Amino acid sequence: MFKKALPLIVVLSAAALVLTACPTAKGPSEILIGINAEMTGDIPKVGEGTKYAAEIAVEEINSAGGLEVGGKKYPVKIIIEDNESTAEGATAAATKLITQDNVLIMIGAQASKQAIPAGQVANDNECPMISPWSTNPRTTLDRPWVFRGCFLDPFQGPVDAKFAMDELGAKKAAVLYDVASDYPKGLAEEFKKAFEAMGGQVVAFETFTTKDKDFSAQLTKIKAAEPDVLFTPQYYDEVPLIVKQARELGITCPILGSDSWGSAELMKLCGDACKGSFFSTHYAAAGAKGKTKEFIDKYNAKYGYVPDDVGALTYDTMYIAFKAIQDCGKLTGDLKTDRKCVCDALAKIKNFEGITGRMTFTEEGDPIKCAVIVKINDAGEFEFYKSACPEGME
Amino acid sequence: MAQLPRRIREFLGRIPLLAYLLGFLAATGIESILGKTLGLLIGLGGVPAFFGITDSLSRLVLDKGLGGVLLSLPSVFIYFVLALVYDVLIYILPVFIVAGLLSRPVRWFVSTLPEWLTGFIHMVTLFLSLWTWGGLVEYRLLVVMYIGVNIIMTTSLNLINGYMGEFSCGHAGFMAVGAYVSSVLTVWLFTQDDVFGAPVLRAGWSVILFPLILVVGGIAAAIMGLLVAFPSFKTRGDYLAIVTISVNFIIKSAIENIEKIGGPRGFMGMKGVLRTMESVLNVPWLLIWTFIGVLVTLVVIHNFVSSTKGKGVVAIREDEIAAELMSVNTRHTKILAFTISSFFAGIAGGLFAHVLGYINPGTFTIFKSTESLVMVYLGGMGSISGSVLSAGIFTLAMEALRPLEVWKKVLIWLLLILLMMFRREGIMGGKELTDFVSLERLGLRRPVKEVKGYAPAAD
Repeated sequence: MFKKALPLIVVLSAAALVLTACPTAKGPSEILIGINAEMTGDIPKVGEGTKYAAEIAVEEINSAGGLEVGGKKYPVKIIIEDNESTAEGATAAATKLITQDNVLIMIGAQASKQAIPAGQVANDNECPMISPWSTNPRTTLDRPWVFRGCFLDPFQGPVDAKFAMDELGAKKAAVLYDVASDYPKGLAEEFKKAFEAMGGQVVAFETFTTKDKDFSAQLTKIKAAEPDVLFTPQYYDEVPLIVKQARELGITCPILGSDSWGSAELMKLCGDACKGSFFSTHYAAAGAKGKTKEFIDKYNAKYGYVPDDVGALTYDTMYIAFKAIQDCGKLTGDLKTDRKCVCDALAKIKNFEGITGRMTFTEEGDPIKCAVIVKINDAGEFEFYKSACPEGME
Repeated sequence: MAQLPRRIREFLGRIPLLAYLLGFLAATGIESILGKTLGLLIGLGGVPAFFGITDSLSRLVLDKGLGGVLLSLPSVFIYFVLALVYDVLIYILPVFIVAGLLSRPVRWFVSTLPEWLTGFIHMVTLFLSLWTWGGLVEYRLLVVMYIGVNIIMTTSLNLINGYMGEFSCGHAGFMAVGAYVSSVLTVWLFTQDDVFGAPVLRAGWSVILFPLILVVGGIAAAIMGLLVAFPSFKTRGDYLAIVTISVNFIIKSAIENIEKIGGPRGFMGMKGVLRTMESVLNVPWLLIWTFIGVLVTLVVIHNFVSSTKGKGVVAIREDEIAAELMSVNTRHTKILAFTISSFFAGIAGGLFAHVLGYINPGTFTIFKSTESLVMVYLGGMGSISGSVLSAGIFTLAMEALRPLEVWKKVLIWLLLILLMMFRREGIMGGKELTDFVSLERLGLRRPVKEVKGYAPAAD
């Protein structure tokens, strides 16, 4: 056997020598951006919006010949990885994008449940990551490599409380939220804290559990408490059920929601019941101007519906990533150096003019930016009502 | 196989397992030196993660309708062929060449050693090859650890659903208990944390105490299992399924309502524990403990079902009343089996939590339990090697088919339906691998008599 195998081994080792002697490619020929998105699972609409918005941004850049970095134009390529809306899926997708596909920067995951573990992977592997939509503080906390494209729950809660008190004139508020989901829970608590600090009274603080469909018990209690406003920071698939049941039970006070309302699906599911309600979000599609309108029109023409906030935030995030790569000045082709360079550039971004407003990153990697209060008008559109900015802006 | 010349077949059949393992180790070594260059040279753009399956599928265009799929098929095919070339050059040739060359020396070497040492050498070789294979791309390492966790989950569930014939569908609940108990302990003891403050013990302890804490997590899960087993085995049949589903929900809701450990926001900080361990000694601790965890699970469950007590478990499956008459203490046996099963689910949970570095109650839902059930039935009820195989195949398939997005689930469940239609007993069908290839032939056990020339088994 050895005699027979001998020539083969000689050939192989010769081939091996030739191969190792071959020079490897110098410098990157293209810029790889990884997208870690919720394509399947609980919130596929979020994944779809992410994908479409990222594709639009990349098309824009590539139709202009690519992204210019240090006088050279590089084509941009995105690699979309499905995280199945689970924590382990997000970890696997992030690990694949960073260690196998060798992306320069990762966009996503979107929901905090996925973004927190994905951020862990990005930070451990020293690859910059921006989550466009995750509002949980822990996503970026103590993680110099992780950034986000949206405001946080501790900002949004008080914005909603202030709006309820000042604009809706509410003294008594009721809250209905999902105790098993971190996003609504965090926001409900922030709202309660802020509303009470301003001298208001939370007369009902009712909870349910994910996938509950009947809220009549909680809503009956809420009705008995006679609130001036009902705050329910739930997702677009739950809001219609809550609002419809509330109206059927005769709760007539205004209903206030959070940025999770802002999906293109909401009005399809909710119909007339949601009209006249308010929610805080990242941008308002109806009546948008300038770059925002351009993006909305492009998206609507291509995919047949008005993009929701996930889409708009992802689009912004893509451009933040482009800007950071450009600010870097030069791509060496050595991934470690380039990633560090992009990460440093991200941290330095100031007054970035995005379609969801102007933003500057804090030390934690969170943007300082304004929130928008949207009113659902009689045509069922999300209409700009008021913007609420953190102190020191505008 | 029938077309292969008889001599080659005989030759391959005589190669001991250790030689194949050494061949794989050599292949992974070659890959870590030449893989990237070869990948770039033949146009793969780098090292393919799982033999090129994922990378070829990611070239499918899914969102442009049937036309897009058809148009992208050639590029998928071309990539697949190139990846095949890579696989042959990097894996298949080296494995067989090295295995062939080492066949004789290894057989001699193995025959001089006591059996326990042979087994140990096999395990070390397997571990080293997994380490070098995974070390090249960290993504592989993660998947290898997912497979390890799933093997523990599947084998332990197989004890209840396969060997004992009861129907438990809340395995993820016990996993959650183990995950939370062990992560809270490690984070409390070894890292700076918002909730628990400064580390309690010095870093050096982490290396020693980590496996013990995993066991504590397992014990907590076992106690939970015991609590469930006492009332539920007063009944028979479907009731266990209902009870275990409820327990799964109860555990999940309970964790959601404990603010101290994060509630629905989840719990993290386990990566800090790993960094502490690595600061003491920089080896892949988690891979080591997952590997050992899998080995211990397999050995314990194998020994249990082969013991007198364990035969009682199978007797219960066949006929509970007859078993009772034959002096099997059915109640006691059932409770014992269920506790052992929960214990290992807890161990799996502890490992899983440290692999992910972040857990939240939403991870341990009925879906996670269903996944374990699927792996048990895929591998075959009452077969440990079936569970190992199916956990490997299922986890790899879930990863490799990721580019197919929604179609992945369609495909996987379709395969499962087909399996149930045409091979209802699962891959192994209640048999073990050793029923097909003897340990002597693999070189794991010395032949009863020294046979010169070592004749292969008759066809």
